[in-house]
Amino acid sequence: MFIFKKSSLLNSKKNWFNILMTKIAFFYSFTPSNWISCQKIVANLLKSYKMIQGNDHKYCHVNNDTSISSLLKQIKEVREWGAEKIIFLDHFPHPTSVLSYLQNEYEFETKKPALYFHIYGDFSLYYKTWTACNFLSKWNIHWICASDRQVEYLKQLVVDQNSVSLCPFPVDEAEFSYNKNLRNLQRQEWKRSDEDKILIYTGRLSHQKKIHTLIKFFAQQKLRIPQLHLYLYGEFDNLGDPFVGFGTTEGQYFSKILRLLKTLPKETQDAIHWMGGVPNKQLKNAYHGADLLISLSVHHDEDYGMSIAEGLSCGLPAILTDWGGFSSFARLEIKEWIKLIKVSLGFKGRRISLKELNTLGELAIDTMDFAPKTKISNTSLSYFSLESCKLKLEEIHQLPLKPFAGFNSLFHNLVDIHNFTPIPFIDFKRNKINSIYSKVYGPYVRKN
Amino acid sequence: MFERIKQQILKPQTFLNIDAPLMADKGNQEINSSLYPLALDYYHDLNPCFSFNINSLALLKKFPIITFRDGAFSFASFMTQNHAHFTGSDQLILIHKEIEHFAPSHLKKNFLSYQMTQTHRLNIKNAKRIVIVGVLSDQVLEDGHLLEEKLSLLDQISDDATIQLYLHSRKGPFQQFYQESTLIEPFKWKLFQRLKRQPVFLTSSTLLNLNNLGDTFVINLQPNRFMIADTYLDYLFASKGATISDWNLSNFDNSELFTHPISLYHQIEISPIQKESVYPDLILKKKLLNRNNLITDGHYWSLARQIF
Repeated sequence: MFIFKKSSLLNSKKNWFNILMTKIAFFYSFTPSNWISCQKIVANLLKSYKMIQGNDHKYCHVNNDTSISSLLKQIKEVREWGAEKIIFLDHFPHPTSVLSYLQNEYEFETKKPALYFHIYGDFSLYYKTWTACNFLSKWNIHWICASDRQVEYLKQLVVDQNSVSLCPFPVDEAEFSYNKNLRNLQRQEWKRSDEDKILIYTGRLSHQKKIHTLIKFFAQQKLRIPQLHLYLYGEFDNLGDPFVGFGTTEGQYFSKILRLLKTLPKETQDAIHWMGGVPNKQLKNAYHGADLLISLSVHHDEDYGMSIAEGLSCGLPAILTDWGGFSSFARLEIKEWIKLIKVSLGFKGRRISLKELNTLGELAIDTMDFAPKTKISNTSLSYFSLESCKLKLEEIHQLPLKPFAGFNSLFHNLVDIHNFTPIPFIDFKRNKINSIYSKVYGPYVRKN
Repeated sequence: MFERIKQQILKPQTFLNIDAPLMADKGNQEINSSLYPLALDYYHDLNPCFSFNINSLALLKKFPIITFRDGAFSFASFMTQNHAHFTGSDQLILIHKEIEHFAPSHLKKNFLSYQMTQTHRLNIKNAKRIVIVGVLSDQVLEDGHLLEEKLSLLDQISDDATIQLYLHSRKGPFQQFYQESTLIEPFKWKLFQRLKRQPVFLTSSTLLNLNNLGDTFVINLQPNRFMIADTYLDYLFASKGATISDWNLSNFDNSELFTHPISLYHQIEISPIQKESVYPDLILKKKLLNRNNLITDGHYWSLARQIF
């Protein structure tokens, strides 16, 4: 007599379910990155991936302190588990620290998992390191960029342009979304009245973020509108502008800003509020207390702009440079509330159009009281919420894959230059930016 | 003299303005690596530097103001050997307040002292994170009793504070040769007994990239200012809002002080030299020793220590 065992049915159901599921292994650092925005990005990408049904996940920890034996053990487990896809979520350590061991582990396997790389702004710092991907010609590879312009930038460096897709870095609406009740709360904390007009900047305070240009612009506007205030959240750093040979020592940019402040009228100095680095929760309130988000960054790594995405999620209109990832934030429905200031590439590097900054910036300040905050928040979140990124990732993961066709001549040209000098974009004979700079960063600026 | 500092801040003539090799390339590598990361460079308008990294005294003289970050020993070694270069000069030299008695008496008009102060300080009881930084060598641990005093701060921390520990053993920075230490391991044992909880161990890269330090209290296990007076780590953490154990709250009311911000959260406080100079004693010891290179001379170390 056949004896039906309930547990065996359950097990077999579970097994069938498992067979239908796609097995995905994620490599990232379980300890948070030193870059605050990257901490949030990795956590939010993971949340979006977890929302996708029908996948079985395995999480692998890799950071600078991971021993080779631990890494080898994890890679072995990934192979034995039967991973079909491996996703590199993090920017650090560089994925190539895992790739060579993967290559060894799968050397005799005919079916290798597909590799997906989420690309960050620091891609350009590691051309030489990325050449390690060249040995992966038998692996299916896909690149995921966070903004339209980063897609263009990367497409000019790889042979197979179809291997590059777009998925913004997600914002968790539970952490950043518009709540009209928070405005008064924050104003009270700042000891500001409802009549005060408040601009906000969040992010690193460094040379390439053009805090000096921002302060000069603010000082001009303050003369026009006395109740204007500027709140800056973030810490100073010493990043300088290494690609064009401008290095700074720790503290140098702070001194520069201090000297600039001393040239301003007392009322203007008093209206600039240096808030330092604060936890995420405080940032949400700060965005709600403000009237306008402003960033004039021309940072070479500005592939996206996580702090901008969070500010927009809280309904703020914005003045942004038309540089790198920022342009993706000016969605059609809210375009008039996101003023993009032209940046051009000249013989001295990136140049912000001061004419546009003055006209569009002034317009943004004059109209900020009428900004439809709910619409700005909803439109922005519909582009980069956890849910919408989940949908984009689902689409990306259904795309047909091809073995890695390699990097192209422009990429190899860049590798050669980086091998030769740490200052790749200066023509030392003519003391100006060289032509390859415009080629590489051409996609980061407005065409006309 | 404060007027000259104001001029310098307004229009700084800094080391950054020249391409010539004022500092040796990467400085005195042996001392710097033994002190790493305490002696890393940072900038303010008053030209902070270490005497042991200076390559050219002729070039150094071109700068109207310099700030020595040295502790008493390297400053004494440098000054006793090079005081003649400063005689007759109107260069303004800042040294740390705790070593101001090492300023040469005949150059008193050239000297002011400084200390770093903070605009806001956290009580250690309220700190959510305690960072303990120790670059240990026998030269540091000669002052073990002072270190134990510092460790007594740990008795006050709250139960839910996390402790992050950067504790590395190095050669004595001012020793000529490496000698195996007899003091480091016993000191570590005492420290761990005192911690009473599992600390998080930090690597250099994690330490140098710590962020959002408003809730952080830093205990720097340098016992006094004999070896190094102004460390990079104190600068780095203070500029991110941490409270530094050895520093004080800024004094804005004292008209005899000149203050200048170094970061959003801390400033340099400059004042006239007040302590009597011990420089004649130092010169005498140098003459008695009759050595050319003092900076790694164990005898001069001991003699300077006695005076300190």
